[in-house]
Amino acid sequence: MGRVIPSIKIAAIHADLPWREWNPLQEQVFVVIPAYREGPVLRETIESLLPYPYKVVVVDDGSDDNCLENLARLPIHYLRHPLNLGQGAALQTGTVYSLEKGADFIVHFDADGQHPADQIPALLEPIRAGEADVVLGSRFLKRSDLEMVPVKKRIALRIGIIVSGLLTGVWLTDTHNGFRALSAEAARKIDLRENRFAHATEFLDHLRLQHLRYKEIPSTIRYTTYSIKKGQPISNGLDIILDLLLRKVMK
Amino acid sequence: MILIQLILIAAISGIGLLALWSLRSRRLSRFLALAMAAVGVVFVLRPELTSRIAHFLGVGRGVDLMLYIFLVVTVYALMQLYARVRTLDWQVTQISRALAIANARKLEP
Repeated sequence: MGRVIPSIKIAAIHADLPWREWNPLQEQVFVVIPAYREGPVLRETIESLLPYPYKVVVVDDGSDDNCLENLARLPIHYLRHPLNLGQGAALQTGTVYSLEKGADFIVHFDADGQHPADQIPALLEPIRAGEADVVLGSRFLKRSDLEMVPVKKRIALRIGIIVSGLLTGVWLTDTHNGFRALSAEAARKIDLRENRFAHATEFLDHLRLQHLRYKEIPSTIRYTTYSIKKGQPISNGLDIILDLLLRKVMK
Repeated sequence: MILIQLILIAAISGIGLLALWSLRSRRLSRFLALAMAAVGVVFVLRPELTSRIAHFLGVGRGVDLMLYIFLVVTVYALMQLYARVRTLDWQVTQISRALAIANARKLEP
């Protein structure tokens, strides 16, 4: 399954072969990618997923950059928010859609190509084995992954971990990692209401309140100049904290 | 009459009329708006009244009392507005989500 075959060929195979022949277990894995002004990188990210028997759901969060045109001829499900709502909202939309389409597993995947597609099987493993309902990727479990993270980013992430831990009581090693897998059952229980980036912490609230079993596994993040430019500037951390505090107060 | 009193009364009357007009269908709100405007005008004309109320409550000056009340009311209104914005946000999200799912497209290779 981990074999990487040139994607053009795969697109053709996808068209010819019915799903059942790809997947003897008849499991439906849906990969949800929230996208906002991602441009050509999104296409590369999707192409990295095509060798695998996953259904790709792209949620275009009201981009104004011809997102759809950039995705021409890719075998994906394309959804579009009429307005820009935020990453949390896009993930939730993609998740609801995947459940409607009969997903057994849902993977959240960043559009900017920083998550390696070949680590998805490892992410699904604990759910398949019945050990967890939700599996989260972490950059801080393996030294080699950690060393990929720029130092400034490391500090910001550490603060995020502490704030999230204090607010939710769920202590993870990496709270703001967009790479995670959910069983359909868990996905049904998680209803993200934080449209913007506070959703990462809100997610932890759901883990605790719904008594979901979760597990972290090491995952590599590829930092490209694009993903750093596109990623959250560290100063946004304050906004996120404010969103979270207001959420606690206003609930 | 001092100039400031004229200006304040004009402003209060203006706001009062605006409130009466925009709250046409809500009788209680209209009445409250009118009552508040009336009290406002009275305080502008007889500022020593606010001072007497302030002294009664243990506040030094009438202006200070007004400031405290203003602060409390404003913060309350802000919270109300914030809650309202969040509700609206949520409604917009639900509509957008429903639209996105209803119009989902399966692209073909």
